Amino acid sequence: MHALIQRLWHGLVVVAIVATATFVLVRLAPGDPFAAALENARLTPAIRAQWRAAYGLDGSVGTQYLHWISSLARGDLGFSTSTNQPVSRAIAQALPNTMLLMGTSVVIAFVLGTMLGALQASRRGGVADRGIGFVTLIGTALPDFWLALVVLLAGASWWRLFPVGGVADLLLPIGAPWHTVLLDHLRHLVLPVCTLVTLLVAPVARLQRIALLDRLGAEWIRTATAKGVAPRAVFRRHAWRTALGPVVTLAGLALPALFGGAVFIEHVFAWPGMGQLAASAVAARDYHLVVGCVLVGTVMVVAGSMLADTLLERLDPRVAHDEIMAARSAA
Amino acid sequence: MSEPRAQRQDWGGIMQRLRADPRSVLAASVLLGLAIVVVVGPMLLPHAAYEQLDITNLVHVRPGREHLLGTDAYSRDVLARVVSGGRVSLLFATSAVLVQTVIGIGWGLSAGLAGRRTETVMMRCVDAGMSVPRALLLLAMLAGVPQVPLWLLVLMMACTGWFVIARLVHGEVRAIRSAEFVLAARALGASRRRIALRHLMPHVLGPVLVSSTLAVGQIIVLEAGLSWLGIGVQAPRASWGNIIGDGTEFISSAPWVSIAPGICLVTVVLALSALGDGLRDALAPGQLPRT
Repeated sequence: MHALIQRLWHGLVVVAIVATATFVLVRLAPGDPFAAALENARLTPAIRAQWRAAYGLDGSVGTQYLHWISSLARGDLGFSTSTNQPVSRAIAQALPNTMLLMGTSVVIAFVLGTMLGALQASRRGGVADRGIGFVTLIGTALPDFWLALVVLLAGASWWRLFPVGGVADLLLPIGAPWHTVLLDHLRHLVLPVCTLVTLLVAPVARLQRIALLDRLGAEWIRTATAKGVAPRAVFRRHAWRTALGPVVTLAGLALPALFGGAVFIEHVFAWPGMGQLAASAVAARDYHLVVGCVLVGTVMVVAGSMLADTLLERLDPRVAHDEIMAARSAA
Repeated sequence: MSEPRAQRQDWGGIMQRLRADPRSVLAASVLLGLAIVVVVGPMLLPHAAYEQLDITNLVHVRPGREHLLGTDAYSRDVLARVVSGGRVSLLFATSAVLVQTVIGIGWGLSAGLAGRRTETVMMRCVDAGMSVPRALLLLAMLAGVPQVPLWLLVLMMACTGWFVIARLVHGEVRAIRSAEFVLAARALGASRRRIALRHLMPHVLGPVLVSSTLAVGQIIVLEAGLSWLGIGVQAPRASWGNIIGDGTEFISSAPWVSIAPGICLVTVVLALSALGDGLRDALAPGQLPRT
């Protein structure tokens, strides 16, 4: 219990540092949300000053920060000037899309990856091991946005199997039966999920293979075999279960990269998620929305890695907190 | 964990083991070959990277004899652009990695030798840095700057990338800072700076080298991503990312524009990760590779 509280506190500190740093960073760059209005001759400096005052952007960075923190404490992320709605509402619209995309991909990638890695480890040095090893090696080197383009080109342009982008067909009649709507959503999910899965499967499979080979050489595996446990049971119950640990750690670690990659992949597939929202917010210099997106992203990442740590302790109770940290710095 | 010794890395042995590993040799030759191509290539190729050959007749020419990799929407030779873009991409990534490695080593060493309070604060900052999606942070920092100069881009890339190295160095320092040779140096009156540079640094360099090799690949991809979005390396200067970006709009009618630089990206990253793996194995012979 003590460890959990410590972990929560640690996470909170991390989020606070990130929030503060981003808050200052977006204000360091030139321009502000109303800079675009400069091109409009009818907007006099007085009007712009009035706008800045109305949105609380006229004070010093320190004053703005204090104001922002006090609203944040009340659960208010501020007002988004570019989408003309509260930041929380803009994020509430985008977040489920990203969660759907990432959740689906992470689950598929980890199930597939651990299976491939296990297959490789059980046939060490064989054709399957080498073949999968070669494919996953290439998988680790694929740039996310480029792979997305190639997948798009193949799946939507050459073979025209799937829609080019978006979450749903805009021409779908209102009141269409639920299964048509569901099928349409699924069809839109296929290509972006394929891209993310390809990117994620490779490191998972490689790590799972190595972890398994490491465990299979252990003395307690030999003991179990000597005691007459069936080879399958030895593999599954004794080796595989403990070899899941590093993979779970990887899941926690992969989140920041995944969230960053979402910016590119969502852009290619016109997927209206957090990445797209953040990119457009940055382009419009929508301070509150940028900070809100980074904040939500960081909270998700921190929560994910805390979850991974907790899960790791469940899987392998011997793992002490320090060891998790050591494993993290090694990965 | 074995007892840390006051011994420098055996670089001769490492090179020997590297040379004996066909994977590393192949990877190193590919990288070397590519480096030579991007350095001398522009002098030998018939077309310049910025040259718009014939904007009415030579737009989107298919790859063939005349133009090995075809031409793009502005009738520029894709091969010339890929070679010149490779120069930018490779140079960019190496310099960014150099800067971030220096920052990371400095931070990690200082944190490892600082007092407990300072150490905690410094490492919490590293944790925070590692939790932010890097692409998002760079996007937030760069979007306001209209024509980003290359040096600023390198600096920003380095400023968002040193956290991993800092944590790695800190971990190593923590493991050896109470070893006997460090205590001996301290007892002899060596200053903190001397202990850091003369006694700890040699131990840290090996793992840092591996991590930095892999980081070059990551940065090439990240720079490509940003340039593809239009906020990285700015036109008319070519980089693999913005060549892919130029081709994106015409991906279904002229896919060759985007595919060629993409294959270069994959090749370089693949070679770098193979070399990184090879280095890791050469540094710690007899140990199971980690990833």
